[in-house]
Amino acid sequence: MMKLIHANFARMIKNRIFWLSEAFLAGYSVFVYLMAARNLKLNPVAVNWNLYFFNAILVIGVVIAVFSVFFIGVEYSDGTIRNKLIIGHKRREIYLANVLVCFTVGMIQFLTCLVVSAVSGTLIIGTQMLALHEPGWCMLHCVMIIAAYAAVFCMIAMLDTNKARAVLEEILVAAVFLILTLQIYGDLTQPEYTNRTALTQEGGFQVEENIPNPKYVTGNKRVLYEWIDAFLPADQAMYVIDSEAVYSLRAPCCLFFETVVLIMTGAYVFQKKDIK
Amino acid sequence: MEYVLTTNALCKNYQYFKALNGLSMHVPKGAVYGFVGKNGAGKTTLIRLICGLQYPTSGGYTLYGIEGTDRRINAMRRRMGAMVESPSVYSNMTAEENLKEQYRILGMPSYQGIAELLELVGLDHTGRKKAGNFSLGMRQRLGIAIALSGSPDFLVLDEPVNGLDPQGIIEIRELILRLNRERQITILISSHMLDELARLATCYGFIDHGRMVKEISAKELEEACRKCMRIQVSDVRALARVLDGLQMEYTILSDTTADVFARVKITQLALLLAKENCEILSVHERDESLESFYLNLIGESANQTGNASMDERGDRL
Repeated sequence: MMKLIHANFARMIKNRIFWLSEAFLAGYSVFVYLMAARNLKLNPVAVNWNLYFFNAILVIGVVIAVFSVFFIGVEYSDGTIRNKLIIGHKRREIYLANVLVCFTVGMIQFLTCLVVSAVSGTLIIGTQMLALHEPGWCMLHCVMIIAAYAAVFCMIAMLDTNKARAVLEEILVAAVFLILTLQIYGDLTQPEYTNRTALTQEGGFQVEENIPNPKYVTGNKRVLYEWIDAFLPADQAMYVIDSEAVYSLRAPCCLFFETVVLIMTGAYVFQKKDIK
Repeated sequence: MEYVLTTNALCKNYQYFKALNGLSMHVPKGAVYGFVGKNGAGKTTLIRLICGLQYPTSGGYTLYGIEGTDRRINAMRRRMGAMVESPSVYSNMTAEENLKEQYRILGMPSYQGIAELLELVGLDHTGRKKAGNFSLGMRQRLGIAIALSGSPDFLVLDEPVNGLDPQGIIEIRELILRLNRERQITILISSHMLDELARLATCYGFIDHGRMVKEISAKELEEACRKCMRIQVSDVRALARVLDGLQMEYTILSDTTADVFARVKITQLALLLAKENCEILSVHERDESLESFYLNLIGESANQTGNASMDERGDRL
């Protein structure tokens, strides 16, 4: 398997998409801090520094999807995956080596963003941007989010030999993630009680406090949403950039479990697959 | 005889289509095995199976005596190289980069031998040109070079001269012959270019509708295709005596018919037979090429298949 990993990394280094996305993300990280500096002038209090520092985690899924579909897709379109099988490499090892390279690319690109963010943030804003909320937990979440993305998108790219169709499938999966995230994260972050401002008969305003929020999800539905939430990488990315999020081991564990199950399922299906 | 590859009643179904239907074949060590069959006969399917790209529906195969289902088969595959259908090359890499990538996949300790491989296939002057910009012939040669990385002793080539110009065909042919003679590499070539195969192969396997119709050595095929005179006479014993007297090689086929493998002077033969009171009934010149041999074989096979299916239908009725 080391041979395959070595070969994959040698190919990754020469991959144009890898370097283009690396440049894009570096530029994106600088842009984020330019926007942060602008926002800081408008509202100098209560700045959420996680939003700027870990912002790349919101787009890293797209980067992994694009990279995996082209990096692995070319093995089918050029037929080079046959070269690995013909000389006796095990299918399981070929699959794992590809997952590993996709995960590594995700990590390299994310770490690049963090380094560029740290440098550009310090230069543009100053060291105050390093006042992050729970950076350790955030990093753990980010690693698991990247692993889950690598497992999902690698599975699609490995199991569909048609590159164009695989692109569509990855876009579809990304869209499903986004829709679920918007729905579930939106519902789960609703406050339990809200305040209501009403107009009095005298023409003044009356603030009613602690009114139960009808949009607040309760009971079994909330439990179900929390579990789905823990398995959605895009959803977890929202918590990473939230300066008030409360972290637990549940989400990283769920993402880890999801990654392992996806890799095992993908490797099993790939094992049975007829390759032309 | 030692075999590199044997298959035993190999079957492969794609949904309701039987691509291979109980194929049994034997590739002797050191041979150039010509695998002949029309489009859709099952040649590429067999190659995909032995290369581990697909799995048989039933039946089995052995590679260097190791069963295809044995765990050790992957180690045996390390000894083979293959080019299946189109050449498997990274189009965004140069010829040298492609070979380096294959060396890494193989886990070779150094890139030693790449220059020799490029020279062997005639791609040593391609420089920084990407494989995507290569002509079909160049890609075929690069595909062969990749298959040769790791010094295999069994090379499988699926239609290696497809789409090549005459010069390219000659170059590939010479390369294959050189690999077989100088490096003792056993080669399995699937093709439907019979003239080309006739210049290379030492053994043939004729496949039709997923079945092996006949396996034959080049020598046996030569015998079968030898130019001869088929003579029908009233007394074949008299003919044998005359031919023995003329020191001519012949084969008696029936009481009245014999094949004579020599240039016969008809007048002389007629006079000598007349002395033996033997009458010549007919004389035909027979000159069977690989092509006509194949056509006869496939025709017979088709008739047999047709009769079998008729019988089957009759039984059902």
